[in-house]
Amino acid sequence: MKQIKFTKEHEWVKLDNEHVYVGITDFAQKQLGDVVFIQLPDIGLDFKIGEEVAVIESVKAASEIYAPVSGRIIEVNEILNDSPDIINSDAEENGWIWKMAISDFSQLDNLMDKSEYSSFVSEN
Amino acid sequence: MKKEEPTNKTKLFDFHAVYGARFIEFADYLVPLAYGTGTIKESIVSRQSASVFDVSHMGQMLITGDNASSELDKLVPSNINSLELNKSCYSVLLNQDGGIIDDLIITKKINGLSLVVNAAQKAQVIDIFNEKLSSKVICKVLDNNSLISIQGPKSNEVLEKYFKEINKIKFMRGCESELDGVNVYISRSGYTGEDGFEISIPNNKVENFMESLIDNSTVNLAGFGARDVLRIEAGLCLYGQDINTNISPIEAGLGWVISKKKLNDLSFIGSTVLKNQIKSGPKMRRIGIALNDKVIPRNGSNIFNLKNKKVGFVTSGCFSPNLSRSICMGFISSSEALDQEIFLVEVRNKMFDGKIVKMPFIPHKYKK
Repeated sequence: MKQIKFTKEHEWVKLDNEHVYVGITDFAQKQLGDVVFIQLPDIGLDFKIGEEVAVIESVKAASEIYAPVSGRIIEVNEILNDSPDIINSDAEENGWIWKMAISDFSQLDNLMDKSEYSSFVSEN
Repeated sequence: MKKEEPTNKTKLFDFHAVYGARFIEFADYLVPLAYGTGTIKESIVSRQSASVFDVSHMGQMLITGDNASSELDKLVPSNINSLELNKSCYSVLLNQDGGIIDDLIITKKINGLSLVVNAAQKAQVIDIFNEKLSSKVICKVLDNNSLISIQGPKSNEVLEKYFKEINKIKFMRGCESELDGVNVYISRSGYTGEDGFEISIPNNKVENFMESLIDNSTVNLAGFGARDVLRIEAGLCLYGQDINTNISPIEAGLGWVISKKKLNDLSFIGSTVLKNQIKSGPKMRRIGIALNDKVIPRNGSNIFNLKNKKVGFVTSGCFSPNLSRSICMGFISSSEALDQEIFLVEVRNKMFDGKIVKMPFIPHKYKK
């Protein structure tokens, strides 16, 4: 089973060999409302943890998505250009936003696991 | 962050929650942003079939007493004295400088003039009436009534099952009717550009009526997300966002609400300033822009000309699901508006080009 971690900014990070997939959680997509556009990052760019990587435009507002871990963008989910609504229908699988190469895997240890994230959401 | 002060709810709050509404705060009310279907589908369905909106947050008032019409006539640029029975007019309340204090719908009824004003401006409008209207005129807030809006090409077909009279009424006209033993008032109007109706109905009957309406498969619930999208597509202003006390009706492209005779006679508040503004031309004007990118300009985005000079600002914007493109409205200096049609809109420090488009972005389908 692939390891999945969560941030307080309602992103998920899924470990797949040396790479991670990043997206927003189902909770976050419900908060945003219908997603109409995603400003994807350029492939090859390096981001440090906490830096703005992408922007999700929903009918309600524009929301910045920050790097949950430091690394280099190696792929973006091009399907989102034509079907941004995948974020609403399948936020935690097919709605992944970018794929990152990371060197320091210990970064993932600081993030929440599924049960920790669930309690974080219900407490807030 | 949680706010401590209480937020108002309409009588349909629980109803909205049962139907899966996600709420947002608007003018101190908790209103449904969207239901399970989401804003995009709700916006599309509204132009294809029919949608029902709870707009009970808006202020409903009744002005009665001696000379109610001629008293109100002094406060607005529209001709209220000649307003026929069961006819409505869209108008604005202005300050001395010609700035817009509120936009409102005024309807002549048997028992007086009824008004629908913006939720956020309710208290201010009442203050103005108390100050400016003669003491013989009484202004009553109709707290006991909810306001329901049914919009879309099938709204007539849906509503005629309840109210046969509606087939006879045209856009901006209304009629008294009865539902389940209570009096209701129906006007053929709305905020979407579609054919539609607004129904003022006693609070204790509104939930049953809503349940009954949505039992009909052609009727869908729509929230404030869709309401905002639809009114932008229709090129209609939102008070507090597109118009405010610093903007005149001339600048906002609402000059049509002004009676020529009243302007010549300088017989309403703000008329002197407006007359001069018409003579010399307004410094800025409201324009619509359609973008090539899907990025959404929102309130406060700056507009530049192709020489990178800031020439205006965006007041409302959205992704239009019915046009499949981003649109916005805003104000640019009048000289620029005449000169060219391509402008740059700044969103998140990047420039996106857009073209001036005549509003409404989607043609109105009023039954005139």
